[in-house]
Amino acid sequence: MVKIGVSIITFPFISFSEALQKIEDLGFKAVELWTEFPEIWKLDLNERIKLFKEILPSFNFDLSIHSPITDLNISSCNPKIQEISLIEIEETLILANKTEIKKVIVHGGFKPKEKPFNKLNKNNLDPYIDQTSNGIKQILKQGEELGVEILVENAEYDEQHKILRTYDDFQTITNKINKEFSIVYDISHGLPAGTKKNKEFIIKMKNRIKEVHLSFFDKKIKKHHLPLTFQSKETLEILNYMKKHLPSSPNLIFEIYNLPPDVSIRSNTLKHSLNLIKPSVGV
Amino acid sequence: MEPYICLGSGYLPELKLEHICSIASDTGFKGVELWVELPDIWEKLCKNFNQGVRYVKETLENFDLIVTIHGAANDVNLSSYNPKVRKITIEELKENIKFCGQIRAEILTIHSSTTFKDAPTEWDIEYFSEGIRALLPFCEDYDVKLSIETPKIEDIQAVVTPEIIDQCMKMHEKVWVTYDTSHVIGHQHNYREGLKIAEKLKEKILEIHLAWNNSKGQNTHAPLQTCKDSLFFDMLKTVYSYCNKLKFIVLEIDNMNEQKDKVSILEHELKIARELFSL
Repeated sequence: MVKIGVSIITFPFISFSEALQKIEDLGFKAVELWTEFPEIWKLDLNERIKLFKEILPSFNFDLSIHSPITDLNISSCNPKIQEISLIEIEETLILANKTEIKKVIVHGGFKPKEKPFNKLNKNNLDPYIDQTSNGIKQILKQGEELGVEILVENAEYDEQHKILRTYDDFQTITNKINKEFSIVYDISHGLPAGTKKNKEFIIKMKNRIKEVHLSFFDKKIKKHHLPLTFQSKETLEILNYMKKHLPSSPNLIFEIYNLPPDVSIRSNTLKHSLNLIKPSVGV
Repeated sequence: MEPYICLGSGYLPELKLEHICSIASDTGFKGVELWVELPDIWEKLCKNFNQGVRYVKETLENFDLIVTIHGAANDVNLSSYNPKVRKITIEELKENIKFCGQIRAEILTIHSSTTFKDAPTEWDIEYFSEGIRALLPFCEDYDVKLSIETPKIEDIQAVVTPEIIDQCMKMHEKVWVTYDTSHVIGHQHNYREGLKIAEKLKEKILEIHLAWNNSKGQNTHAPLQTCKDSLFFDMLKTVYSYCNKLKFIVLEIDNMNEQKDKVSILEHELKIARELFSL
């Protein structure tokens, strides 16, 4: 049975325990934790472990943790940034291991945006694909050692400097590391490619999709992570397609961020989005 | 003293340092602006800093060119919310300052930091200021001037907007400005804004990055010879007249790699710049 959940980052302006309570009160069964949630972010690893052990046993959620992404890049042309990016992921894996959370979500890297590298690599992603492959290989090994499953997320299709955006990107990296890693499929990230390409991705990767991120991409303003509305027909079509074709029932996690800070507005938006998807996912 | 007109290296990424210096020299430039991330330099510096420095020094010895440096800009961020990234950024820029000191480059241009939000917050500005405070003593040690580049006017995530550069100047006397003509006018060719920024920061502008903005968004640093709008050249003359501390004018032209006859294009650009500023 599919579990529907929420990213903790939906409620960044209240405490960690209040955010979890709010999500439980709204009736959600799963939570995507983020180390970049303000109350968690300011703590070191040991303090994070302590906080998770204190707070999480009071709730009965199916949990995953999203590793930090802000200003990090596992494929950076700057070796120091690349190293820090991998260390941040390793720390998230240790946090998951110590608090018995079984799934950690990671992002792939991206090619340089600034000169002079962006000109040099305009049509050539190879060195950065190699670095992403090496990074993911290292993360998968650490995950195996710590008993944590790594879920690699598809990047925004419209952000062309990002590496893991398309089926071909995933296949290239899979072939390079010779391992079929699991995937978290972000529908909003995939939507700029159109429904057809999304369906192709889903059908080709159906055995590897272990979690789904859900929000709306507005093509007119080119913005991701918006609330679902009656106009989100493509999203609902993709959800229907997943229900028919995926062999398992991955958790669906709402990642709706572009909202006013008010908690009641955010709660009502989640309720509305949940009601919209219920017919498509059969809950 | 008259400013030096320099060739920017950021758009010549496939070339070796020696080739860039030859082009600059043959074309009649007085100097070069080197990005530390120019692959030929960056790879050597990453592998072994001292050997990288030696390579650059030895190459430059063969040319009569004055050098200004553009610091690391890829994936580094002085305003990052991630303290590890802030620390790495400061380390990286300290290394850039040391590099300047060792090759006797007087100015290090750095980019504005970025926020992950839709506009800079007080935190972003405070982090940036903290970073600058950490770098300035290092600049003093190596006798290098730290110069912040004006960001693209359309970049809503740039922390150091011209207003904030102005605040920063008031807080840190020893911070300077690199005025990028393409960035300040933006795709909308807002000359009034460009002039306003120059007037506000005029006492601090040490370097001008000179290029036309072709307004299509893909080629923001277009050659001056492609600009048909005399208002842009009028703006440049006024900006130049404001800058009494100017040391370098760097021609930053996009897509030089795709141009077959680099030397003749650069000769034309240099001629326009010389005539414009009577240099």
